[in-house]
Amino acid sequence: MLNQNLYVKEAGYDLLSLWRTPAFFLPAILFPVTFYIFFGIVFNFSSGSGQYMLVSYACFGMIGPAMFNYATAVASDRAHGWLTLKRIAPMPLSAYVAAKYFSSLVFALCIALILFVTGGIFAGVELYAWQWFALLLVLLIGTLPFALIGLLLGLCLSDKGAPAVVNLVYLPMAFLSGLWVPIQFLPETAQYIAYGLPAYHYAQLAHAVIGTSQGHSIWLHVAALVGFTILLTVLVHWRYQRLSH
Amino acid sequence: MKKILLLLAAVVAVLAIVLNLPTPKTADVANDNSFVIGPVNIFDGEKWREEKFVVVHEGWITKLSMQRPDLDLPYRETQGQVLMPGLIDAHVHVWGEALQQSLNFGVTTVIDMFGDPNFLQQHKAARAETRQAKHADIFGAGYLVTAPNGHGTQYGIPVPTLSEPSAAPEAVAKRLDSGSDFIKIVYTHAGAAYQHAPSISYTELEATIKAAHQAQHLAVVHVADHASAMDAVKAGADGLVHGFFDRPANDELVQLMRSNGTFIIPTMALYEGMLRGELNDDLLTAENPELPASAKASLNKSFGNTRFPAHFYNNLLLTTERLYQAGVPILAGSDAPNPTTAHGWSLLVELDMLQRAGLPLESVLHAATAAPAKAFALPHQGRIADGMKADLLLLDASATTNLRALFHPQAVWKNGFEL
Amino acid sequence: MAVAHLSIHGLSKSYGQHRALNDVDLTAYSGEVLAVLGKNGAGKTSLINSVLGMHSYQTDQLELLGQPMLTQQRSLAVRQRLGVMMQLGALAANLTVYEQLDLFCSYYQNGFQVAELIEEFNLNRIAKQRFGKLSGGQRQQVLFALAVAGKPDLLFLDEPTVGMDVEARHALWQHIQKYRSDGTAIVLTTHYIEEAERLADRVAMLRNGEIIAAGTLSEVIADHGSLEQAYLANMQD
Repeated sequence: MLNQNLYVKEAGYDLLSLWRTPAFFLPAILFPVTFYIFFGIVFNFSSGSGQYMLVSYACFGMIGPAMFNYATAVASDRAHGWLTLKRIAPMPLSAYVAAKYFSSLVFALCIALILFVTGGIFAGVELYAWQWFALLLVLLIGTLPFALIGLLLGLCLSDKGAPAVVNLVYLPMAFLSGLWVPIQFLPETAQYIAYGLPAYHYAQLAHAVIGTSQGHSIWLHVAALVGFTILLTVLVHWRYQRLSH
Repeated sequence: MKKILLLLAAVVAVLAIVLNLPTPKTADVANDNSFVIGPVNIFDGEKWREEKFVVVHEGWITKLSMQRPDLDLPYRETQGQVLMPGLIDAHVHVWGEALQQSLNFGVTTVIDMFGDPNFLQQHKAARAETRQAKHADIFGAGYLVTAPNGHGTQYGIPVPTLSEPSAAPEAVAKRLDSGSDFIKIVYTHAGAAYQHAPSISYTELEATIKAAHQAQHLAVVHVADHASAMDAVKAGADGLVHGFFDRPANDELVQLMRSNGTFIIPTMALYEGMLRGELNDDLLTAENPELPASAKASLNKSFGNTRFPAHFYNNLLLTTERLYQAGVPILAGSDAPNPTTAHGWSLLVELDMLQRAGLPLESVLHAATAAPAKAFALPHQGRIADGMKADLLLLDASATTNLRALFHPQAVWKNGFEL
Repeated sequence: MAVAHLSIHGLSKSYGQHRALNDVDLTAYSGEVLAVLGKNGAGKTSLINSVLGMHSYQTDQLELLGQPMLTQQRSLAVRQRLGVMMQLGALAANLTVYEQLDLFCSYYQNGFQVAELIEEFNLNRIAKQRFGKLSGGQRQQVLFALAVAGKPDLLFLDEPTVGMDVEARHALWQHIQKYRSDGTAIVLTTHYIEEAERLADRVAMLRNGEIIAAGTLSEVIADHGSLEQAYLANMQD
């Protein structure tokens, strides 16, 4: 019982802490929404239909908070010694990580819903109810590898460097995975690079919900994401051990 | 306790939002795609029929009959208006919402002459189905075949280019693999007098057409002048996807096209916009249709300050007339959404141009229905006959003599569902 | 009967060429306060970090609460019985004191309830304030409360009264003495001689990573007259 309580409290307080930092979460939510409105709706010069752009920009918008929340928060916690105190206390590390994942999920959920509503109202996107739900699920669950990337970066970077480096990873990866300009419009080499990027596989799974993926097997993408997740977990674990040396 | 309530409230909020997101309208029980319609004056794609009633079953036309059939199906009673197949625009470029826009003017099938193969693939399955749809069916070329830095490469789309004749079979195979229904080639005659992008050579043209034929597919060619058209026809092209206006078609070309069975899509609406730019305004003023914003946007774009000699316009009309008289199949295509054109609307403009070129009404209607269907071997489109899809257009009775009735369709059916 | 809750033999730690700790022996018993004196850079922080497994170290023997620590890992079970107060920049600046304490109390199975903890340390007035808005002295109070939230058997206090006013300092000393009589082993690093003199049962003096004097308070004072004299004398050589 106590254990559950701990996880709940840790998660609850992390979310509360985030909620009290509007300077952080407001831009973090508005950024993908603004991006979507500008490049997905108003200045949609590419071949993307309303549905297609919504899915692309939803992926783009979901990856961000997962990475940023972890990277900046963890880097900051490390820098200020807060994480140290928690590590000395009998706080299972999994509670800390899970709590942050919970709050990044809540974040992501908010962004997804805002994007859906924006797409529905301003871009005339119409999907069956099962598609809306399926899309939401895929988008949320798929944030896991990116949360891990953020966690890894947070463990490796100083709190000053973290935001810049995260952007350096996030933006090119999103672009090369076809999240801004649909992938079929990027040069061929970019398409090959995309296979090695988790954001590409994530987006393809989301597109599969509305039938606009490139046609590869879903399982390929799932396997890729699972593979990334495992690899990242190992790296995070390794880095965390090294931190103590 | 407070936390649980909060959680519950959050879940309810999420559900409330997601369940209220827009969903595609589903068919009303009343709007079924099985019905009987009549009495109507039927243009079946080739000619006017004697029959007055059409039976549609789950989106497929099953029967034409003289009397109203005694069937347990919803009955759409009409008063002798004209019923014709949904229109086919034989030359477009689609992306975004184009397929939906086309339906606004009764264009139920389009033939894309250069577009994203993925887009084409996504919409292929719908061609043989009669599920309720809000978009036209598409047949397409995927990526065109062009020279390095040739026409088509200027849009930033990664078009594979052709550099030597021996590469032609592979170029064709790749396109067919990624879903092309036919092969589209861009060609300009080597000695062409005007400024143009690099072109493939005649040998490469021949090789590509041959490769397409060996793979049992059509090869159509984009040309912009008489000499290029002549080359293309000689090289075995199944069709030319543009007209030309540098000079009227000479006898040799006309006869060659006739004997080879080569068709032509004159795209006069586009050229009118380029050469004179008056027809859109005339028709818009006269007919005053409802145009969506994106249509207005592409109509308002212009080709810039190009000054062409006045006789080019006449050449265009003359060529079309000569080819028609010689029995060369004329197909109606708009080249939307290039400047001065818009999806759907510009096909109607093209039909108006065809009439100005001297085609009688039935031939004009034919050019936008059975003619492209036959030329491109479309399996279920372009005709009112048993086994065809119920893509239909209901027009005022005056459509038997007045083409302008097309600008005010009374009803459009796609896959048997009324829009 | 006093039990050794902390037992260190031959602890060494180097950062590259620099030797932060050199062959340190130290023992802390239940119900006693062990004061570790030394100036900054003497190795007090390295000592605590090593004991807590925060970084790598070499040692002949290290036992916490009777259990040998064979690796750098400190199990959850051991951490349940430890309490640490360290100098921190800022805790999660936008959680209130109450929330901070609530969170920490939830980590411990046998510790305080958050309401009790607030009572105990008279934190009612600042319970609703955000940690980032507290004064230096108030922060120290909260950090101390966090350290004892789990009713630890072994308590590390690193410069606990820095920045506190006189009343607060005395209140803290009273708490320390109370926990000592409850049986907690307390390791206190400080450079306030008065604090050490008042609270310590045992004293160890650390200079350049080495223990240069250790023993009971009286043993260390020996002939020097006062702890201060003893300290100055030891630091001279």
